[in-house]
Amino acid sequence: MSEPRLRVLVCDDELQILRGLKIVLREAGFDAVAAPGAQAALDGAALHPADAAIIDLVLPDGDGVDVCRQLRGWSQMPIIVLSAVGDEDVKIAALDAGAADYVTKPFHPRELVARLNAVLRRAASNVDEPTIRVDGLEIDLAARAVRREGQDVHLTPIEYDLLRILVRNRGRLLTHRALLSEVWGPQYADDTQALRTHIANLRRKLEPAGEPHYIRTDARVGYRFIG
Amino acid sequence: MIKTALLRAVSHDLRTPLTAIITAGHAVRSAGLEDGERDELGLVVVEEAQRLSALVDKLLDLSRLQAGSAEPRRDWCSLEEVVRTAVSDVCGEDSASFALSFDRDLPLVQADAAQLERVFVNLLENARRYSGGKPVKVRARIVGDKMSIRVIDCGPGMNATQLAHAFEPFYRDDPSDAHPGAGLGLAIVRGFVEANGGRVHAESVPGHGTVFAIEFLLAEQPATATGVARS
Repeated sequence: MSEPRLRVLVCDDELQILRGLKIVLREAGFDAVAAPGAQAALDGAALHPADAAIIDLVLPDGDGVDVCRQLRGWSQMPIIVLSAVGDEDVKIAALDAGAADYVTKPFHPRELVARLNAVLRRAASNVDEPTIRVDGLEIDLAARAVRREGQDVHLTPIEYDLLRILVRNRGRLLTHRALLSEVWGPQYADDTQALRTHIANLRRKLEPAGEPHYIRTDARVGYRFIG
Repeated sequence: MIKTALLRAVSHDLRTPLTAIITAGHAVRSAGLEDGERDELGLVVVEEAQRLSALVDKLLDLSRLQAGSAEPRRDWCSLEEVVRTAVSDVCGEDSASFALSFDRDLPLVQADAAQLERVFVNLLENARRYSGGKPVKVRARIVGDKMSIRVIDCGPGMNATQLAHAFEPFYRDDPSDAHPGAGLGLAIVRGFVEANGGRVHAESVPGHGTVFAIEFLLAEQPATATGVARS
C-alpha cells in the first residue's frame, strides 16, 4: 500500500505561479492546496491541516510574515517563504516569525521541492537524540562532548551552545538574532560581530581545512548547519 | 533613491512573471499531466511573457524620458484615433471596459501619435485596474482654447498624499496592495504628455474614483485637415 501523500498549503496571489506549482508539487508526490491570499491561507490551514506550508511574503490582503507568525501560534508545520523582495530584512522577519527557510523568486522548482523535502525530513526527525552523528562529526549532547573523526574537539561553552542550537535545527536557517537571543540572551540580539567571531572560531575547530563544511553562511541573514 | 526604487520594482515585477514562466516550463514536462493542463501551462507562459514584455517597454520609455532622448516626432494627429488605438491595444476586440465620448469635429493636435498612444495605454490600463469592473469613461472636448481629454474611473480614488506623488516614477502607495504594478505608468504619462507640449493632472475624491485630465493648447489647423484626418 502506498504511503499517504503529504499535504502542502501553497499561498501566493499570483495565480499563474500557483497553476505551475500545483503540478510541480503533485509530480513530486504532494497534494498542493492553493490559497490566493493571507486569509485564505489561515482559513485553509485551520480547516485542512497541512504537513507544510509555502507562503509568499507579499500578499494582497496581508503580510506573509504575519501569516507565518499566526500559523506558528498553533501549528508546528514547517513553513518556507517565497520572496521576490531583495530586502534581507523581510526574509529575516519571516524566519524570526517561525519560517524554516526561504526561497527567492525566481526559483527553480526543483530547488523548492528539495527544500520542502529537507524541512519535512527535519520535522519528522525532530526528536531528542542523545548523540548526533553527521559526516565524521559526533556531538554527544548528554555529555556536552564533541568529536571529529574520533578526536575530541575542545569547545568553549559559547561555541558548544552555538553548535548545539545549530545541530538541533540542522538544515534550518537560523537568523543572527535567533542565535544571539538563544545563546547570549535577547538583550544581545544585535551583537552580530560577537556572533561572527564565535562562529569563525567554531569553524576553525570543526573545519580545519578552512572550507565551510558543516556551517553554511547565508549572507546578512544567518547560519545553518548542513548535515 | 531612484536606483533603490528601480531595484525594488525590478525585484518584484520582473521576478514574479519569470517565476511563473520557469514554474510552468518545469510543470509542462511532468509525466502525469491531466486534460487541459498542457494548454493552461502554455497560456501561462505566453501571458507572463507578455507581462514581462510590457514591463520592459515601460522601463525603456521611462529610461528614454529620463535620458532626454524621447524627442517627439510631432505631426498632426487625431486624438480620437489615438485613444481608440490605445483602447484596442489594452483590451483587443472587447472594448466594453471603456465608454468613449468625443465631441464632434474635434480639431487635430500636433503631437507624436506613438507617444500619445503610450500615454493612453498607460492611463487606460491603470484606470481599468482600479475600476473594479465598472466601465472607465473617456471624454474628449474643447474647453476654451484647449483640447481636454479626461479618463474617469470609479475606483477607490486617491488621498492628497497619493495625488501629490502619483506621477513620480516607482511611486506605489502600498506596495503590497491588490493592484500589481511597478509604479511606472503615470510617470511615463506625464513625461510623454509634457514632451508633446501638454499638461496632465489628477483629481480625486477618496472612495469616488479618479479623473486624469490631459490638456493640449489648440493650434491653428492645417489648411486641408479640418475634420478630414479623423477616422
